[in-house]
Amino acid sequence: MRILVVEDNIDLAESIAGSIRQMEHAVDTIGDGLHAESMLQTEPYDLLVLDLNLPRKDGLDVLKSLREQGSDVPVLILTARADTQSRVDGLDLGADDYLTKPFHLAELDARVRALLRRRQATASPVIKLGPLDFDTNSREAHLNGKELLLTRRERCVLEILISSRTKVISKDKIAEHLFSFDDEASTTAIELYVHRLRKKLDDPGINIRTVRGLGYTLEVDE
Amino acid sequence: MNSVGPSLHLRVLRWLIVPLAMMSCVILVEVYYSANRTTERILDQMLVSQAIGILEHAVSTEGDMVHLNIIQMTTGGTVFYKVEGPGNSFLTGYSGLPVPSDKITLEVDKPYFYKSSYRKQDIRLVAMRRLVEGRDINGPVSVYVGQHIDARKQLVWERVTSSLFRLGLLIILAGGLGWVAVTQGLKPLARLERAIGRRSYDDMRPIELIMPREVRNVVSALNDLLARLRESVERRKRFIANASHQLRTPVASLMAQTELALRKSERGSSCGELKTINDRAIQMSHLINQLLSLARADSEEMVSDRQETIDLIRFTKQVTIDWLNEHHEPGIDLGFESDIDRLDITANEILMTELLTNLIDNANNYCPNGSLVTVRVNRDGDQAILEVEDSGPGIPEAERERVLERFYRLHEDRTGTGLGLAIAKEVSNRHHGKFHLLTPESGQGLLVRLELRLQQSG
Repeated sequence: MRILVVEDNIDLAESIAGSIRQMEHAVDTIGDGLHAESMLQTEPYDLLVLDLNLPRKDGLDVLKSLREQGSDVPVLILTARADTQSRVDGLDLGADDYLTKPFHLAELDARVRALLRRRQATASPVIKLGPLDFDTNSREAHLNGKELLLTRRERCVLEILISSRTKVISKDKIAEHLFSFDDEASTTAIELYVHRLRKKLDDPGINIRTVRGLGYTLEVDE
Repeated sequence: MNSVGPSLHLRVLRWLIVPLAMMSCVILVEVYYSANRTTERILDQMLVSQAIGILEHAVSTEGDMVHLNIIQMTTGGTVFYKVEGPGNSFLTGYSGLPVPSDKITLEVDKPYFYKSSYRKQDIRLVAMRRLVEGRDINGPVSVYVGQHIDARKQLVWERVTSSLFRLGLLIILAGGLGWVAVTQGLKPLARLERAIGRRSYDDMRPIELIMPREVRNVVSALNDLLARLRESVERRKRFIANASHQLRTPVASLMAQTELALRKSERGSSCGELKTINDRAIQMSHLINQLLSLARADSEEMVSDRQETIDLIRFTKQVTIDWLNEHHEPGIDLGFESDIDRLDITANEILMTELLTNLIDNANNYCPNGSLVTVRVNRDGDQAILEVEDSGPGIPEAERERVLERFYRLHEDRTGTGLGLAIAKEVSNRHHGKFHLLTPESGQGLLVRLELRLQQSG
């Protein structure tokens, strides 16, 4: 995979690049928005790590013109602005995720990995999560190569959990996806489906963890 | 500081009453003299007309006593008289009534007034002489008519006391009106005092009250001061916000580089030092985030301009989930509890996010790995209760007041910045909430409770 890091602080850019190189991806670093734009037009990148405060051209403008040209390269925004507005602006303009400075490199790695996996999923429909393979087209799930027999509702729950990866997803969100307006959205029903799913996902490499009072998160050993 | 000058009321009363009283004295003296003069003139004239009456009566009746009731009908009290015929022969009346001294020659038809005493009482007398041409009496006849002076004095005193009464009334009335006028006049000041008293310590908007011309200068001077204060405070806040922003990138770089170096030299000799640098960088990043939080909580337009209705349940869940998603493998077991489905409050969402995030950060920083941290929302009457309970080391009761101070830390060796609780308290203040540090029912850990009024009545 080829990744472009646009960050004007050279030390930080080098650290990010170093961390990504350890994941065995090719990295280019660039310090200004205008230069980044021309690079993006000529080189096929799989991921863009984009700082918002850039000389010559603001990160948000780079993102905007990138999306206007129809590029679907995943974009991870780095921002020193903690306020919600710039976050929302970035996501509205088509960023896929954001990180607020300062951040842990481990956190950056996790986000990069998640975004690249999503990128891969568009090429090949199978999402790999530790021992679990999930085919987004056929919606079939395999645990250690063996197909999992799931009911419609269980499959739905698993799909939602996979789509939100390692993030916490609330019971309300699951209920929204799971039940149509006619059905009665019941949290006990969700608990039941999760309980059954847990039994079927019988492998130490993957686990549906309950977050007390909030929802669930998928824990994967990688 | 608290020096109290003489009361304005008393000062005005003094300025009103002292001159009025002095003026009253002058008026009273004047009243006394003029009453004296007038009474004397009028009563003297009466004495004269009585003298004429008595004389004519005596002549026509050839010495009969005049009926006292006729005489006493006139003003001025008892009248004494004596009539002498030609050659000073006693004709009628009170024979002992004193006559003027011999040196005085009475002229015909010209009254002569004099003072003397009769029966041990001071009297005022008039002496008159008339030429009578009759059968029995022929020649000059003299008449002496007198009246007690006490009677005159009484008349004068009546005038003076009635004046005294009126002037006294005037002074009392003036004093009362003065008092009311001062009270009324000071009312705008009382309004100003209330308006200033109601303000929160950091509300530096200009005072907009309609004030009388005399007080307007005070208000505009106050507003001037407020404007200067506001500007300096805003400048300071901007500086903190800018500084925090400018610090983020280098700290991010420091963190990233040390982290990368740590990974590369997993078993290298410099590992310990690198770990320390990395820890300090992380601590610094916390500090920067919290300074920015604080600058934001301090910023006055934050609360006044952006109050909105938020569902505390949904909001709290979302902030907790966001926190979990931003923290890779947190050391705490974070959960949420509530008995209700929805609880609407009026608050500033950004500041409330700072509050909750800081409370969770705090629990995360101070609790050992695996500690249970629970965010709880409930309703108690017209209060919304937001709690963050942890099973960590807690805070000794004696320290609970002090940990709310900025930069105060229980243990210097921890990675905390000493700002988390101060920020939460500040946000609570901004929402007129009550902020408590308590011990959980289990007796272990810390329970932070925020009470917010549900409905801002009015």
